[in-house]
Amino acid sequence: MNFKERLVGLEFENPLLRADGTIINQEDIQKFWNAFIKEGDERDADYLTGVLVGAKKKLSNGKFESLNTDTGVTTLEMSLSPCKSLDEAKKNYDEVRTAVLGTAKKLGFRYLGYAIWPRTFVGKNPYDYKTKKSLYAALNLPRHNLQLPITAHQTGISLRADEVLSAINTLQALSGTITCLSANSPIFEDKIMPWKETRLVNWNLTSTSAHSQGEMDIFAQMPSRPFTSLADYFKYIWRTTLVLPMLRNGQWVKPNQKLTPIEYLKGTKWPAKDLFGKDTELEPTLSDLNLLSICSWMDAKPHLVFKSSAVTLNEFLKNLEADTLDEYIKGRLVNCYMEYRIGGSSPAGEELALPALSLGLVNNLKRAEKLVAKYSWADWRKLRGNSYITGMGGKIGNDDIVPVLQELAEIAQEGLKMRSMGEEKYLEPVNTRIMEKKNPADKCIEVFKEKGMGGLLDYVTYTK
Amino acid sequence: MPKTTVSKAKQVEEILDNNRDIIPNFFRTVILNSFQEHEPTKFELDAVIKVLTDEIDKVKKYARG
Repeated sequence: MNFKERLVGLEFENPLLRADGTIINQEDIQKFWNAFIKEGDERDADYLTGVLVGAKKKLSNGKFESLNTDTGVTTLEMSLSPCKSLDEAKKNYDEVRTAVLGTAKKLGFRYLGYAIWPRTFVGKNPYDYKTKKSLYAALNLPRHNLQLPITAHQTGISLRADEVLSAINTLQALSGTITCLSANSPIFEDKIMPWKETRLVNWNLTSTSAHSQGEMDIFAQMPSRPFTSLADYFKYIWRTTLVLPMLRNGQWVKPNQKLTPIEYLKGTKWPAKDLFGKDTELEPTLSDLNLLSICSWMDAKPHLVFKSSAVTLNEFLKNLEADTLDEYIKGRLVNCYMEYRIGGSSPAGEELALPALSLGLVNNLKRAEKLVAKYSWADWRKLRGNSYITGMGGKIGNDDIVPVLQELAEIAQEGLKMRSMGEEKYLEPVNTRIMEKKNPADKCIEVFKEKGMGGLLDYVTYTK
Repeated sequence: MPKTTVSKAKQVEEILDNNRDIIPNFFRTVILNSFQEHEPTKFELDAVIKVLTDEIDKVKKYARG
């Protein structure tokens, strides 16, 4: 079905490095923000640490777009507003990137079009490079520092309520294909890694943080079966205790006891502390539900924002228990989209390729479901588990992955054509990768072998 | 830490030591430091051992096989 009103949002993270490819430090990133923020922009200083951690950039269209550093000060993230078309999204992205690149050049930094830290933290203590955000003081993830050298390009795609379950199952199944096509972080600590996407090894190891209760897979890895309903999804992601605390007036507040999200939402008042150590109480609210509903970091992550005039916590919990959430959410959402998180940062000039692929697949969901049905869930899961090592040389079942990638690209092309906006042009890099049977990691390794670290750094650095 | 947990933490260190050609130093630093910052449970250590072993096995099978 054509759905022209489907919006697309880009969340792009890219590394910021020094000219010699080593990482920038806390002092450098402060220089960056101070040079980047111009009249009319907004500064984003953290309430707890007082440190400048980002900015809101005013674009020529009058919109503000958010930028910040993610886990590491060397990771620059831009979260761009949803747009009606990929052309509009690209226009906003180009404007923000031009501003970022201008500041980076002025300070002698490299802004990379790949998800790599080729020299990583060699000889340095990685912990000195963590962004000073209150969020990280509040987070319940023991190995979160594994996220320091990671960048991804994520795409947000709006969904109708009746598409959510199929979209998350289908796009989750296909996540291994995206890695085959887009892996691009094969150089780490000055050498070639035995895999093509270091980022996914970081995620796999971060996922062990959730295992304190013997639970698996919530943070990164593919679930062992597709979800049967939205209630099934929520019960799955809510098996561990709270990963994030709650927000009150923009500040984090942690319950004093360990609670699962369901235990928390069922309560009336919970003794709690803010990050200054002050005693307080938490009374569960709909805003808490909205926050808890996005506390999962799987590849295909739904974002459901509930309408305060139409949803109560009691009703939500009753429908969760009765497994009737799929019906209940209809007409009760103010926002509904899927964040597709599997792609690494894209090379310069190819940034819209993965958003186009993701948008096309979602817009042609029935045909994408048929592709998924050709193989077992276990086959897709195995592909997801191996794709960052095998790249384009991977297999699904007994089949080579390349013909499957060709079909994937055709489905996306058909899906984009249904929108009649000419957006299929953005799939060109995808088609080239399939034709050449090379993803960006393969090219990166070739350049590194031929030209060494200097040549690689120049190859992956934005020039315009 | 209880004895079984200490022994599993030691096992993680040995896996990291024996596979320095596969597992980057950054991962080693963060994983071992995390045990100092937060006392890991047995379940958690089992998970770290499983993920590390899986990664190493996959590299041996798919990247070097």
